[in-house]
Amino acid sequence: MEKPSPMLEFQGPADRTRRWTGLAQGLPNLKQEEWKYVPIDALLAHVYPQSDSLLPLNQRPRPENLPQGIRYLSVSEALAEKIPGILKALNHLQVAHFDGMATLFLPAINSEATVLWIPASDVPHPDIALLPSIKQPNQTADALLVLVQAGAHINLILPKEAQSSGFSFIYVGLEDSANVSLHRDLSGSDAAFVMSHLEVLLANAAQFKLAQYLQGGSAQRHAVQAHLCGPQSVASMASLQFAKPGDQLHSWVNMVHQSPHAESHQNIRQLALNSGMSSFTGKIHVALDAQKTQAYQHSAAMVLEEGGRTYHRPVLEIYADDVKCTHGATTGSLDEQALFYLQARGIPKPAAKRLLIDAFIEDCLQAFHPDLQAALRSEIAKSLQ
Amino acid sequence: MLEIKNLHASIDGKPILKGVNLRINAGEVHAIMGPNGSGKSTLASIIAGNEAYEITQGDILFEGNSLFDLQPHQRAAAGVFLAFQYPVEIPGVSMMNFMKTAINEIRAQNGLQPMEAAAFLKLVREKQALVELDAKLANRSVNQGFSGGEKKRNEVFQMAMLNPTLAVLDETDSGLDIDALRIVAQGVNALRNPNNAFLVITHYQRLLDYIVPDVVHVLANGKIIKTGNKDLALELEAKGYDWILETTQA
Repeated sequence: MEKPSPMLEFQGPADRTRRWTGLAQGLPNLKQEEWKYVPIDALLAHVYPQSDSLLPLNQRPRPENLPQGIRYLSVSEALAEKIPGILKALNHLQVAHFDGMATLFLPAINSEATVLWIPASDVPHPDIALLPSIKQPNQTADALLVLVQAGAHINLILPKEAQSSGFSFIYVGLEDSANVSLHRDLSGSDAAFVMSHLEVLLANAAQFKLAQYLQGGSAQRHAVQAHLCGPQSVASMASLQFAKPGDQLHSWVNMVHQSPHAESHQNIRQLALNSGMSSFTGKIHVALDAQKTQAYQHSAAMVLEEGGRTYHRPVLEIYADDVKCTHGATTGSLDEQALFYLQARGIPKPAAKRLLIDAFIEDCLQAFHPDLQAALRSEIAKSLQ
Repeated sequence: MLEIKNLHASIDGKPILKGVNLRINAGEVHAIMGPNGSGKSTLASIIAGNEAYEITQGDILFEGNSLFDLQPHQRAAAGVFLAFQYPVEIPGVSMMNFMKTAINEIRAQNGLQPMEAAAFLKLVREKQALVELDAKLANRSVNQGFSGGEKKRNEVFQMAMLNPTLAVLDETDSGLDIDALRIVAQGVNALRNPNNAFLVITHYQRLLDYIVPDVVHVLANGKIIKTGNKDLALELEAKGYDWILETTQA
């Protein structure tokens, strides 16, 4: 009898069981935490048409001449070639604990999912803009596995034009001392529901930085889960969420400290216009032996118009006893005294408001790639007019 | 230059100013003194255009035009400046960006082109020297992390940058040590000329040793109850506010 391939094993009973368990337990609903999730009935009733223009990776042109040994390939090819990091990634995805919503993405992680392989290099790799949609036929989600080898250093940019799919899953595995920054603009989709899950695994002294911008669409939910598995690993996240009228933006973050001497940062800025809603759930999980953990979370929200809503939910689950963990959340409107101060110096009210809003988000905006920063500044300015 | 006519104002229905009359000509320095709660800061805020107060009666004319027809930024562009008693901290807005925006907005309202970067930097250096403001503060956020004295110096620095026609100094001396007081007063005196005017609000005579006023007013219970020359401030210092309140009631 032929031995099952690792891929079949990956798609085997454990995976199915986990998926069905998640569904049987019931996805989170409005009654449980109404501010955290989009109405699930409408979501499940929605039919996602397959686009003719989207082909499996193996049948479509691939980017050529990628620099410094960077490769795009499929999961099945990666397994066949025994690409370093692929089995670790699949094993992690099989055993990791996801929140209920992630079960919607798991079917997309199969043999045809895309792998972006970043080899080790003495010098930083050039910046890479991720491909537009990588959705497979008969799947409701895109899936991308980024495998970053020891010591590699790279900036990944996901421009808004790449946001053509409703659901997307990204895994980033960082080997020792790898350094990855992911900059993503999640404002480009016109789908009714936009959902994503980013799963990150950090080995010793690896560094991962995420800068993300959420805006638009009737409902968006973006989850980030980082596992700090090696000492001296650092995960940082900056999330800028701008809820325009009618928008529902939800971000869910879980920094899982599994190793001692690791560090995580969450820096969130939320803006809400009339009837816009933005929420943030930020969890810090510190395992029993993850001593000397440093974990910081700060979420600040500004409601710009009456009817706008913002929410913060810090969750700290700490089992180690020698850690530094902080969290802070603030919500307010534009400071009237500051507005008057600026006006008294000759600055008209609309310009004064812009100055204060720019100042509020600047700290978060600085985390973005310079190219994206400029685009976001102009997009936000346009939205505030 | 400035004429306040029978000004009545209230906040949350509570009357604060109850008929203030005041006239300031170009080239003059007027001081307003008075006990706590007499309405001095309210008057300053209203001149600058703070919308928190309701004007129930009266008018303020600036160079012949009612200030009530102008928004706060338009008043600033017309030449009115308020040095705040409690300068507001604005995290994230750098002093340089703030000053550059303010100057160019005022220039735009007066039909002028934005100031060239080199000219702006030269002006900044010149005015910083005038009030002995640490150049490093220019790279920080507006008033954030400034000491009390630095905040007040920063107000005078902004005044020097914007070169107003009428400057209202709301208790600029509060929280200043003697050296800082001298430096701030030195800055104000350097800006005095026959074409501008100052309204200096203070509790204490000490500031008026450095900025010598032409006229001193005493504001109490929402009204100017006595006007005199600089000697009035000395008399108040010696006898206290109770003296003048009793004298005027009698």
